[in-house]
Amino acid sequence: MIRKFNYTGRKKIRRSDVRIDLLRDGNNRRFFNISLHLADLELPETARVYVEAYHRSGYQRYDFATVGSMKIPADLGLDSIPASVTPLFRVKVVDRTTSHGRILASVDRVRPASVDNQPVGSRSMLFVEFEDLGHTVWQLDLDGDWPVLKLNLTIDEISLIASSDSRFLSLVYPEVLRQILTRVLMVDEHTDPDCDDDWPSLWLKLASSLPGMSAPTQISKAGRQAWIENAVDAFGANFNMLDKFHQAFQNTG
Amino acid sequence: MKIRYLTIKGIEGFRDYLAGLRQGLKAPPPYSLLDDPEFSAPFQVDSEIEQLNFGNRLELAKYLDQALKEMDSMGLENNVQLWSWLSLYFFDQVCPLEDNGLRKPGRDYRHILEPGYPYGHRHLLAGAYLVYSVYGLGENLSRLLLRTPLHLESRFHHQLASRQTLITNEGILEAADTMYFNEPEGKPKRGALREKSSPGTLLRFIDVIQQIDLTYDLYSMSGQEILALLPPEFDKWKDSQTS
Repeated sequence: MIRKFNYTGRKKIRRSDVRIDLLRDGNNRRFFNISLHLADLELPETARVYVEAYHRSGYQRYDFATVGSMKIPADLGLDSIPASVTPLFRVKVVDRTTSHGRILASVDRVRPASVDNQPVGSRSMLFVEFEDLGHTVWQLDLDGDWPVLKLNLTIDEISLIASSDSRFLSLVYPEVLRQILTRVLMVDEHTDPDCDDDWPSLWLKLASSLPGMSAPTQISKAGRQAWIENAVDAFGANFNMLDKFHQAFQNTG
Repeated sequence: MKIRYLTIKGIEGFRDYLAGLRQGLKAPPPYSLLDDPEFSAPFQVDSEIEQLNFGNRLELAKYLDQALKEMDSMGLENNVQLWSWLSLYFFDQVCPLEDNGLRKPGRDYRHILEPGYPYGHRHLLAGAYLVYSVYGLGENLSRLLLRTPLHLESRFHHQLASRQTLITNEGILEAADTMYFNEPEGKPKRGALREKSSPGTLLRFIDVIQQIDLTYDLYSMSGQEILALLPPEFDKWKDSQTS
């Protein structure tokens, strides 16, 4: 079993103790609200609290003063983040009493719970972004902070197609699952669904919970590819992908 | 000339030309696309651009920082049509003619922007603009990354700009500049780009920084403070001005 270990001694802020909502002010300028509970972690009162918002080229940092006397900055605007994307957030508690700021507690890759008052689900498994992909309909990006399904914005109603067209659902999403599990199990060799609440573990957890599947923690390296194929098949069965595909063509035929 | 953007049809034309070059085409760049209304269109804001010769990407970035000032900065870095137009405009510099009469354009994303990860920063013009203007690194922190001719992406740029946690952290870039930039000669030090197994190289620096980042809040630290955290293998680079 391959697990991730924390050798640094820093504490882990639970995701359930952080809630972030993205909103807009009267000038349509984006900002965020945050609810943050650190009381259970027994951190020094003087430790500094920082919140960071980021998305690829965009990065912005906010100083929330100290654990003992947290102050919300006057400006929580997200001006450095492109308006078309949903940033992720990082919370750090830092000991600044020494010359180097040691991280005492942190949580990374926190997704907003809502955007413009629309809940997005704090555990959403797959981001969706729209880009000009040239002659490609969709792409899966697994090299960023969270899996992103990129859809070609030049295609009319691609958002609707991706969310409700049975042909798209049955052809694309099993392949998305296959690519993600391949990255997690074969490339990163991460096999434990319970080791973290980062995206690799969440996706392993999803696959393990499908009918007939169990966690791949005891599966040999040679057996991982077969486990992935079983998971993709179970995913298809669970969501009636074959029926959806047949029906879609009967309806259009 | 007033800055314009290539239409979808214009980008297709440019892409076809790039494909032709890869097949050995010797035709001159399709500069007519730049102001033909069928292939390009004007911006609402009038900004002028001149056909200057730039010694390196830093000079270009400084120029674009001024030339694009009047245009909306948010989202400019993702504007595929603008950057494609600019690439064609400066094509003789981003894809110079070789002695044999051929041009080597490389992959399309060097000329036609593919925003975001993994290729956005590899556009030869937009990548330089990102570093200098969007990340706001200015001359001192950009020089290590952008000291190459327009048609070449340095490995410093490739390695640092592709990692969000590095390129957005001025302390880390200051530390890299201190170690790897040869101040008297105005260029990167020799040997800094050796393979990862060589002590103190850029690739080792990136590895070590990614480990230290788990323990220390690097965003609140200056370049000097970050240098102080590095293991002895980097001493040679910290101490030397010119190697």
